[in-house]
Amino acid sequence: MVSQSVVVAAVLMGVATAGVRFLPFLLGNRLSDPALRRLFAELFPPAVLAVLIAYMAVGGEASAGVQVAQAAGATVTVAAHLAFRNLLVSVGSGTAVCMLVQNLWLA
Amino acid sequence: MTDLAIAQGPSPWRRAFVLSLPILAGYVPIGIAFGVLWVQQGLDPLGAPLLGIVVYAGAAQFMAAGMLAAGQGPLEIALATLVLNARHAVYGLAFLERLPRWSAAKAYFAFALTDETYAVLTAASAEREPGLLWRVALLNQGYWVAGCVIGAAAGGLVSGGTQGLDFALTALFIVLLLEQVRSLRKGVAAAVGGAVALAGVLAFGTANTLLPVLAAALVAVALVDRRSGAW
Repeated sequence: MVSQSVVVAAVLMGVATAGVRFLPFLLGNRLSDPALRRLFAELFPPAVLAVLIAYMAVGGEASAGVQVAQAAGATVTVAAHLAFRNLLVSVGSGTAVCMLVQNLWLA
Repeated sequence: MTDLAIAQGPSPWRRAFVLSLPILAGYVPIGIAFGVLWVQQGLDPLGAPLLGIVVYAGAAQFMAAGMLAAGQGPLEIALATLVLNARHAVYGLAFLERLPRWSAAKAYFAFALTDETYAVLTAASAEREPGLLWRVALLNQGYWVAGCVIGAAAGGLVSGGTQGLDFALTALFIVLLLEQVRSLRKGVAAAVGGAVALAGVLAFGTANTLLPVLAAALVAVALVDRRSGAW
């Protein structure tokens, strides 16, 4: 049986997360400028992704070795996707390389 | 296109499944990684799918596993979640025109608008059918919860060798970014966002900086785009 603290945490986390996700839909009618909406729909998504990737790449407390493994995985991911444009191949090959480096070379 | 062709075209669920394939590749392994981590932290396996259903936010779930194992209280975890997920407040702005009226489907879509769902559906901007959005979101959550279940079930059997599995999430973001950058204007936006993020991390570190750095990055993107004369 799941503990009470986990259930309460889950509910509170769910409320917090849903709250921020609902916010733009609740305020959206006030953003009527078409140019602004195009900005949100076209330019913000790649910028947000780039920010998240940058944080994943340089953030956290990963050791230098883990960062090397992640760099290798990222390189393979980009190369595979530019070559084959197949997401399963790209994500799978990059992840496999990262895991191989971490579990075999760094172990 | 004739009415017959439209009627005989791929069903909305099939089209949604095709759009959601990128997320399947990322969410199942990452969900498994979360489930394994959750169990290995000594937490009840049922908690993993519970968070997957009620919270549905990967980074926050990973964070919660560590905080719960460390004895942190639910309120502290919820506040940390609010800060961590504040970036999601931007995502809905991209779908305002596609979802002009409130409905149960729109409410579910708003609840389920994760980083990855946002990334894949903004890349598929040609898809204007509102019914596609909530279907993709529902499939994506299904993949995530399935991964959490599998990971929680198998977590006790895994003794090691899974280091790096969570890289699948980073790889997925990289691929989605490559798919997003289809024009010079979007490429510049990504470059500006990435540059501001790197500068922010190098200057201030990563602790509690994601939200202000994200805000700064988006302001910079808007200013650069405005200066280019686009609007």
